[in-house]
Amino acid sequence: MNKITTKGKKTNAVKLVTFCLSFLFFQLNIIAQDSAAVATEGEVEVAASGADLVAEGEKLFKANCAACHSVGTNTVVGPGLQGINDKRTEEWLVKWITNSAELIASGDADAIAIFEEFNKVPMPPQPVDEKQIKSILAYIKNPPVKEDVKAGAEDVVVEEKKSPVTKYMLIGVVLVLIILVFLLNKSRVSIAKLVATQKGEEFNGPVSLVEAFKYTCRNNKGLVAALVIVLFFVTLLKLMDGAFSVGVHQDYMPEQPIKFSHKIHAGDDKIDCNYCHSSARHSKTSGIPSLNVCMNCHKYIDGSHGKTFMYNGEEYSMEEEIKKVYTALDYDPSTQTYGDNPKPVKWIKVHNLPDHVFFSHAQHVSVGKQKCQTCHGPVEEMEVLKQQESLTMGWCINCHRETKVSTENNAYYDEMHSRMTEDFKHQMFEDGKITVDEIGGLECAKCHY
Amino acid sequence: MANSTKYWKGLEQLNEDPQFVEASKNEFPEHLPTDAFLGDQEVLENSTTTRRDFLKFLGFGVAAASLAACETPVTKAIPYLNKPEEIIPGQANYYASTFYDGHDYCPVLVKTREGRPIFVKGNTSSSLTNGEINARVNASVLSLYDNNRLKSPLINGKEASWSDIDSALTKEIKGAKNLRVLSSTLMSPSTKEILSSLSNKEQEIVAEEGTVVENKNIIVEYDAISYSGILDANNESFGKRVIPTYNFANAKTIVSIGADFISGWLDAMQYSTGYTNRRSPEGEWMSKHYQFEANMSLTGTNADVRVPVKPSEYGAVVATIYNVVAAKVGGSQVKVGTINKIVAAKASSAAESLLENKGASLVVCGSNDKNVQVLVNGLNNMLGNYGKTIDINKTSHSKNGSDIAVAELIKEMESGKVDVLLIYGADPVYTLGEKFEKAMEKVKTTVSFATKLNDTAAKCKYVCPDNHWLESWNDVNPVDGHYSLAQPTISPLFDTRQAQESILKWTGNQSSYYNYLKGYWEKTLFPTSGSLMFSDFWNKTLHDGVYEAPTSEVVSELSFMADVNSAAEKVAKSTSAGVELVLYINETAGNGNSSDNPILQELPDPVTKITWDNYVTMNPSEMKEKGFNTILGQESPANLVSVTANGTTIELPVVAQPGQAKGTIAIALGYGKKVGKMTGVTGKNAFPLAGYDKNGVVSYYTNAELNSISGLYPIAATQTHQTVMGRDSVVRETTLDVFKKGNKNEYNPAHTLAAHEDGKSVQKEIQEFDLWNAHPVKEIGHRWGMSIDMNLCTGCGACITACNIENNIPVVGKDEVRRGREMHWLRIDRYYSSEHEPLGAIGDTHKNTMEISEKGGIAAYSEMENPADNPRVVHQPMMCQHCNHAGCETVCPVAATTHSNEGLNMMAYNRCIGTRYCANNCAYKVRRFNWFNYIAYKKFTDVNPAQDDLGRMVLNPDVVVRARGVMEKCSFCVQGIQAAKLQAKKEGRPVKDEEVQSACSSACGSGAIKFGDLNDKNSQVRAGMDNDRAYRVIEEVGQDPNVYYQVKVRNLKENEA
Repeated sequence: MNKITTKGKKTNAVKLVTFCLSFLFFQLNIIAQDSAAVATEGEVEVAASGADLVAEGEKLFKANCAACHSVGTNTVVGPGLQGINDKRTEEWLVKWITNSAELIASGDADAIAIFEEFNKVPMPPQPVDEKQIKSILAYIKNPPVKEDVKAGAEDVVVEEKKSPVTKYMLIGVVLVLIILVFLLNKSRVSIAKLVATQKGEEFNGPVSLVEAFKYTCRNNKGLVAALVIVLFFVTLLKLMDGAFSVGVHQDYMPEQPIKFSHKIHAGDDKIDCNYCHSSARHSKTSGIPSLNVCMNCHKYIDGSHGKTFMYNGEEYSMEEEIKKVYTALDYDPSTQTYGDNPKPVKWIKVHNLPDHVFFSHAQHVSVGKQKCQTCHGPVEEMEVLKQQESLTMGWCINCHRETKVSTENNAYYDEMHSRMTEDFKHQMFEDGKITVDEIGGLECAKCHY
Repeated sequence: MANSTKYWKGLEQLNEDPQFVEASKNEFPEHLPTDAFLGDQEVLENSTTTRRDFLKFLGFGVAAASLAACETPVTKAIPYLNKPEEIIPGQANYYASTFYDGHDYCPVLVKTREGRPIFVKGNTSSSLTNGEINARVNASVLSLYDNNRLKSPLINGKEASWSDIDSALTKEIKGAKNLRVLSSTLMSPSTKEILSSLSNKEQEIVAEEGTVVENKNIIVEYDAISYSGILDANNESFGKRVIPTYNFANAKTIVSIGADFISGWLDAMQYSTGYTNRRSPEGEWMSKHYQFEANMSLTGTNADVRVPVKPSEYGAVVATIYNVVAAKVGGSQVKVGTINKIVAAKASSAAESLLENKGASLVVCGSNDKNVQVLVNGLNNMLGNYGKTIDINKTSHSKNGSDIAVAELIKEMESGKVDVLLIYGADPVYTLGEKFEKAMEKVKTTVSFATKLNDTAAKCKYVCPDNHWLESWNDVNPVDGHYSLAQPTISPLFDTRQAQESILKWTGNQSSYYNYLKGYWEKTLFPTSGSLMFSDFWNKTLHDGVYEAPTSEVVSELSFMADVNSAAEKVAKSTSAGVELVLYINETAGNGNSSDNPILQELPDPVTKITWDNYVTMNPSEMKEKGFNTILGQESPANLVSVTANGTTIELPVVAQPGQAKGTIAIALGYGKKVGKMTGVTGKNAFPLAGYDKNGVVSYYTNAELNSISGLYPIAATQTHQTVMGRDSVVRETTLDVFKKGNKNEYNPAHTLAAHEDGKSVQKEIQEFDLWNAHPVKEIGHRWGMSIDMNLCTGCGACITACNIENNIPVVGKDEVRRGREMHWLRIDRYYSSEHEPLGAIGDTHKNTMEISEKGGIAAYSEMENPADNPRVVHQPMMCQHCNHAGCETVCPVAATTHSNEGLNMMAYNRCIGTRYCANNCAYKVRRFNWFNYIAYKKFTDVNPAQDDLGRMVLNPDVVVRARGVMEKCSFCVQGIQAAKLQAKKEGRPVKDEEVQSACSSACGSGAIKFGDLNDKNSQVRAGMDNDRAYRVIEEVGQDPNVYYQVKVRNLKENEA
C-alpha cells in the first residue's frame, strides 16, 4: 500500500508495475500462517492393572508424605524418594513408615544412618497400613508425568512460524503476474499493429506499458478521478485509525524472563489471583508478586519430576524455570539455604497505563467487587500473559457508564445516600440502578491528578 | 466599624507606582516569551530553512513519531525478592522520627513510599509541639536526595575508605594530648555519653596521679545563634545555667521585646503552638500580645500592638515596664536609659496589661545581653510568672552553648594547645569567621562530621560524613522528662556512617550505635517507664516517636537572687551611634543549615515576601530621604548599599520594610555560605557583622555604618504578584471589643446588591443572584472545603513547603520568580493595613469604589499620615477557592477544567492546551502557568531538584509531574481525598472528619487551615463555615467558593492603636 505514495527517480515502467501491484495487494488476504496442532504424548507406561494402585498411592502420598518428601531426588525435609523401591526392601519400608523410632531402637544400621544424616529429626509414624504403603510405593516407582504434559497436549495450538515456501510462492506469483502484464501488453500491441496493417493504417497507438497507461488514463479521466478520491479517503481513514491507536498496545504479549504460565497457576492449579497479587485488594497497584511468595509453593515443588510445559508455543522444562527463581533468590534447594547474592527478576510489564492515569486496583477489586477477568481477560487460559483490552479512556468510560454500583452493606454509601436531595435521588434511580458515572465516575479528578 | 481600612500588599500598591498599576492589570507580568524559543531575529532571517524544508521536517517528524509509537515501549517491573511484611506497593507507610539539627527540634512522622521518605509532617503525639512543624523541617526531606552530599569520607580533601579513616583516627585520638569536641548543643543523651567517653592525656594523667581532677570539659557546646545571655542571666538569677520552659498557652498578656518567638527564638515551634492556642476570639480568653522590636519579625506581624523600637532602647523598654510594675507591687525603681516618649507610653500600657494579669503574663526578650535578661527575669519574678508561665525547674535543653567557652577554645587553639578537634553539627568557620579559621590552622588534627561539604568541613583534615537524619538512629531530650527517638526510614544512600558509630569505633567500642542506643535506653529510661519488658517499651516508644517520663515532683523553690539594680545600671549605659543593625534569622534560611535547600530559598520570606536573597531592610521614609528606591518591581531593582560593622563590610541591596524602626536596619543571617550548592547564588554572610564583647559574648545588635554605593540589584519579591484588584472584602478584621458585642453585621456583614422588586430598589444578599445553575454540591454527597482562621494563621509558610513537596511543584529559580512565574499553588498574601478616613461601610463595594474613583486613588489615601511607619499586618493563605460558580471553568475552550460533584474544581492537565483564559478569569489569581520544561531545561538544573535521578526520588508518585504549557493550581490534594475515600469504602464506613488532610492543613500546627467535608455536619470545616466570623473572599462577585475564612480579630479596644 505504502508503495503508492513512494516517490523517487524510478522509471515510468516501475511506477506502473508498482501501481498495479498495489491493487493486487489490496485484494489479497495474505494468510501466511499454517496452523498445525502438535500433540505431544506423555510417556506414561503404567500397567493397566497398576493404574488404580498408582492413583490411590498418589492421593495418599500427597495427603501424608508430600509435606516432607518429594518423589524426585531432592531433599525437602526428609530425603527425596526416587528409587527408594530399589534401595530398601518393602518389609523394611513398612516398618520404617509405621514406626521409625522402633526400627532405630532395634539397632537397624540403615535406620540409624538416616536418623543421623537428618540431624536426628525423627520421621513421625504414619497412619497408613501395609496395603496403602504398597500403593504409595507403586506411585513413587511410577511418578506420573502425565498431568501437565497432557494439559499442554490438549489445549495448546502451536503456531508454526511462517513457512519460507509460502513466501517464495508468493514472490513467484507476483513475478508471473508481472511477466503476464508485459506479455499481454506485447500481444496487445502486436494485435493492434496487425489490425492497423490489415486496415492499411499506420499504428500510432501506445506501444510501451507506460504509454498504454497514460493513454488509458487520458481516456478515462472520470475513473482516474474516482480512484484518486477513493485512495485519498482510504489513506486518511487509515491514518486516523493509526493515530488513535498510538500508545494503545492491545494484544501486547511479551515473553517474560521466567516463562511463567498463568494457565498452569491460575487455570490448572486454580490458585486465586489475589494469592500472588495480594496488593490488588489494598493498593492502587496489583503488585507483581515478590519471589518469597513463589517460594511458598516452590520450596516443595521444584520441578525435579522432569515435566515440561508449553509457553508461547515452545516446550520448557519446569525444573529449569523454577531454578531461575532459585537463582534469583540465591537459594540452594539441596541445603535449603539462602545465599547473599540475590538478583532481582526483571519482569516485563504488560499492562502499562500512562503516568497521568491513577487507576486503583483496590477500588475495583475490593470496593467494586470486579473480577480480574473483566479487564484482564481469561488470564487462566493464557500461557503468556497478554493485554486483552485496549485500556483506552473510552474503554474505561464505557464500563463506567454501564456498570452498576453495588452499594449494599457499605456504610459509606449509606451515608452518601442520606445526604441526597429527593430530586437528586429521583434522577439517579430513574433507570432503577446507580451506575458509576452517576456517582461521579466520569469526573476528571477521579483518575487524573 | 466606623473606620475603613486600606489594605496594601506593598509600597508599590500603596503609592500606586505606575509599574505596579500596569502590572496589576495583567494576569501575567509578561508577554509570551517567544524570543526565548525563537532566538534572535537576525539568526532567524539568515537561516536557510525554506518552507519546503520546514514541511519536510514536519512530515518526517510526524512519520518518525508515529513509527516510534507503533513499538511498544518495554517497561521493566522489578518486584521485591523478599517483600517486607509491612510494605504494600502503592501504599504509604508512616514512621515516627525526630528532626534535630542543632537549631530546630521537631518530632515528626515520615511518609515513605516503597521505602523512600517523601514527606515529613509533625507528630501530634508530642505534647511539646502538638504536630507543629516549620518550613525548614518540612523541606529537609529534600536534602536527603541531594547530590551534593558527601558520598564517602575524605582525608585532606581526597576520597578515602572508612578503614583508612578508622585506623588513622583511632591512633590520633588515642595519642591526643588535648582533645576537644566542638558541637552544636547536644540534646541526645546517648550521644553525650558517647562523646564523654572521649578523653585526653591531660585528664588521664591527672586522674592517675590521684590529684584533684580539674573537671575540664572536653566538649564545648556552641550555638550558631547564641543564647548565652539568657543562659548566663538565669545562672545569675537562679543559680542554674538553663533555659526555662515557657508556657505561652497560660499567658494572658505577652510582652516580647525583640524576641521572635513564633519563628526564630529558642524553641519557637513549641511556643507557637501554645501561643496560637490562645489567639482564637471564641476561646475562654484571648491573649494580648505586645511586641517591641526594630525589624518587622513574623511575631511582630501577629502582635496586637507592635511598637517599633531601636535595639539600643530594648533595655530601657524593659526597665520602664519594670518600674511601672514595681511601683504597683512595691519594688524598687531601677535606672532607665534613654527612651523615646511614644515608646515609653506604649511600654507603660503594656505594663498595665501585665499587672492586670499578674501570674498569667509573660515577658520575653530577644537580646543576648545578660543584663537585659536579668532585668526581664526580675520583671517576670515580680509579676509572679515563675511557676505559672515560666518553669525554671523544667528546663529546655535546646540551647546550651556558651560564648565564653567558645572564646576560650579559640584561644587554646590559637596557642596550639589543642591537637585534636572534632567538629560535630556546627559550621564555625561560617558562623565565627576568619578568627576560627585561623585558629583551626594551628590544630594538627581536625575532624568534621558534616553531611555536606561546608565552610568548616572544607578546611578539615578528616571529613567523616554523618548519615542524613532520615538515615539515622538518634534520641533527643528536648525538655526535662520529654524524650523522642529518631529512626532511619531508608538505608544510607551513600558510603556514610553515623557520627556516633564512628566515635564508638575509634574509642574501641565495637557495638553499633543502634545497639548502644537501645542499651542506653534500657539502662536509663526503661526503669522509669513501668513497662514489664524492655522490648515492649522500646517498640512503643519507637512507634509513638516520643516518650514522656513520669515526672517526679521535686520542685525545689528557686529564689531570685540577681542584682537587678546593677544590671539596670549597665543596661542604661547602652548607646546608639550611627545606624543600628539588627541581625535576625528568618523562616527560610534559619541559622544557615538549610540555606542550600531550593524549596526553602524559593519560599517567600513571610514578611518581606522576598525569595533567594538576604538584604538590608530599612524604613521606607528614611530610604526616601537617602534617595533609595523603595519600589520593587521587575524593572525596578533595589539600590546597593555597603554595611560596615565590627570591621567587616558587606554589600547588599536595600529594601523598604514598612514598620522598621527608624534609625535601624536589619539583615537576615544564614545566607552566603562559601562552600556548598548555593555558593554565590543566595545572599551574603552577615555573621561577621555581629559584635563581640571582651569576653567573646556575641551581640546581634550593633552600631553600623550604612553607605550608598553605586549599582543596582534585582530582587525577586512575590509580594505584589497576583494582586486582587481594589476589592474591599478580601481581608476582614475587627477588634475584640467589636467582636464581643456579638453583632455580626458590624464586623462581618453580608454582601448585598441592589435589585428591582415591584418597582422598588431593594438590597438582596449576594447568594440570591445566580448567573449559572449551581453545581449540586450543597448538602449532597461530599463537599470538600477549607476553613482558614486568620486569627490562628501566623504566616509561617510551612503550608507552602508542604504543598510544594506533596504536589511536585517545580522550583523555578530567582530569575523566573522575578518575572512573576513562581509555581506555588498556595501563597500567603501578606497585607499591610493602615487606618484612614471612613469611606463607607464595608460590604458596600459599589460605594467604596465610587468614592475612591471620585477622589482619585492617591488623594483618597492622602489623609494617611505615613502609613508605612507602623502598619498592621494580616496573613492570608490563598489557594484555589474551588468555586461552585467558577469563572475559570466557563471560559476553558477544551473543558480541561471542570467541576466535580464533590465541589472540586478539577484540572485535567492532558486536556489543557494552555490558552490561559482560565487564569485571566480567575478572581483570586491562583492559577499558575507552567512556562518551561522545568524537569529538563538547563536553566533550572541548579534549582529544580527533579532534574537528577537522585532528586527525583523525592517526587510524590501519586501526583503527576506537569508538562510545559499547561495551567496548574491547587487540587485540594485530591490524591489524598481519593485515598481516604477508598479506605472508608474498603472498611465500609463513612469518611471520618480530619481523615482527609490536604498537605497544607497537615503542616499547619496552629490549626488555622482545616480541611474536610462541608456536608459533614460534625466536621471542623463545617464549624468553620457556620462560624459568625466566616466569610468568603470577594464573595460579591458571586463565584461561590468552597473556602471559608474567619475574620481576623485583634485583641484591641475599638480605638486603641
